[in-house]
Amino acid sequence: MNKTTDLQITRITNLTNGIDLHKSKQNEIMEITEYGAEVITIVLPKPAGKNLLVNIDATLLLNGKKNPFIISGKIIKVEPTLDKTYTIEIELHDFDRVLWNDFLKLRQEAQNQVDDVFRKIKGDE
Amino acid sequence: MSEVPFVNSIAGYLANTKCLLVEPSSAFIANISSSLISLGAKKDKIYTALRMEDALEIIECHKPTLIITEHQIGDKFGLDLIDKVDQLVGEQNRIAILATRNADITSVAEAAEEQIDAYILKPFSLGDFQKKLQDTILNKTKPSNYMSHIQSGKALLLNGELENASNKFNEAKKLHPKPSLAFYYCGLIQQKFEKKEQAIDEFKQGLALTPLHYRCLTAYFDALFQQQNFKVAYELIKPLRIHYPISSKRLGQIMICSIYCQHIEDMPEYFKLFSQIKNRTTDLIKVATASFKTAGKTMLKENQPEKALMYFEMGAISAQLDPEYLDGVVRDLLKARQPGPATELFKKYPRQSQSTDRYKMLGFLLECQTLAPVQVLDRGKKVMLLLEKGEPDFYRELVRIAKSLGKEMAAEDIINKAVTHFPDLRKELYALLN
Repeated sequence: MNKTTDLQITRITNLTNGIDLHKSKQNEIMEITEYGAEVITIVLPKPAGKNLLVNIDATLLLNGKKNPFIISGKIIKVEPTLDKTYTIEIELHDFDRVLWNDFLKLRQEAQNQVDDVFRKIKGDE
Repeated sequence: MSEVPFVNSIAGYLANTKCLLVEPSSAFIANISSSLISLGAKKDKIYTALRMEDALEIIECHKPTLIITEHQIGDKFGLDLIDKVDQLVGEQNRIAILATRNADITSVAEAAEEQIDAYILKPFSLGDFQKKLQDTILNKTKPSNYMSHIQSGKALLLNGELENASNKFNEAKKLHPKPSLAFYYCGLIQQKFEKKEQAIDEFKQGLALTPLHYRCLTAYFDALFQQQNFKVAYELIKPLRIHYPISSKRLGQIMICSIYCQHIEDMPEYFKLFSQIKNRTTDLIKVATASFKTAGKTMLKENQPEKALMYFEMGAISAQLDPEYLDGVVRDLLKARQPGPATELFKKYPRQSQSTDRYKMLGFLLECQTLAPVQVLDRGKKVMLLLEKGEPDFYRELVRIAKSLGKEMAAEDIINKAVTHFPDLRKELYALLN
């Protein structure tokens, strides 16, 4: 858990015309609220069209090691939030599944480690 | 077949529960809200707060019993909210979950100690979140007979009904093959009755059943620490260090124990732990700084200046390069005639404090041990012109040097300057001259 495992998205573009939907400024971290085996949900300042095909430039940090990570997918849900941003759910189509599975596994291990510490400290509670 | 009543009971619990989500991100609030609703929570019973102040107001007003909070909200901690909830509804009647990006294992340990029911790392998959929520609700709302006794005992303990609570915990001891937690609570009650030895005995019995039982281990350690029985307490540090993350408070106690037991050689390891802790409390910073300073002074006494410098440097980092700390340790090194290590620490003086009298005088004191007397006098006269006021020792030293070099005129100039700030020094300084 000392070494970071994280997904950092830097750019999202419309796959059909190459126009940026969003590009991270320096030091800006695009917020990711949820992820699964075939889906990620991110927060964007502007809405995007449902069913739009997108390309995502990202970095997968696996135990501190940086791996470039390119995903293509489709926007399947767009919802406004209270602070005028939008949560965008993207179905993942084409990406390095081995790398992604490693990421999911490491995240699960981090949660397991947390659960383990919790169990040990709570004892027979 | 068994899943239906399981899900129904969760849905039933959530439908009748007021929930509070405290989260600086609206997107996460939306995410967690929809998760709760899909599991059976009612939209009108879900309260949300982006700021700590709003969360406290909601707690006062609506008394929610399911709280899901980020670890840190602005500059405040989500854990503080739980104390407030416990005062209003009682710990046994609420569920508290931290949903956070903070994967620091020390924070996890602190949360577990602080009666948090679950700790979920963000971002998460919806399925994982829901599973964790269901497990947590089930654990808390459908406890075993043993845990039910423990919860009742805790409620009685909180109400100050110590005898009744003690009875509950003693009954609980018969309901579990290794009831270490019951022994732990019995120990706490003995402490409330001021029966310190009996309390320690309960903790030891808990540990005899489960040798690494965290609560018994830490309570035993705390009891020994309170009795200032540092020698025995020190023996518990190893199992604590190996098997559990060390919290901010605990690390401070460990450092104190090591210093009292003269285990200075362990201090570099504690420095590593100190560096890993992200949310250092002011108390820990103070204890760490004082401990490293003591370790450094001990090494100076043992004539090991290199080791002394190492510990003083650790102290300097712990003290966040506090000029007062640096001033103190540089002077300690100079007293021990160690200008080399003193110079190393002097170099760490923060730039923004380099215009102060303290810095200029410290520089002069250092030069007294590194330059020839003629140069020192020259430097001293220049420093004197830069000082706002200076300090008596500075003028005494300068007069002594001028006198030793036979420069009476220069000495008189120094005295004249000194008495403008310290009139009472006139007699003493002229005595030095004559």
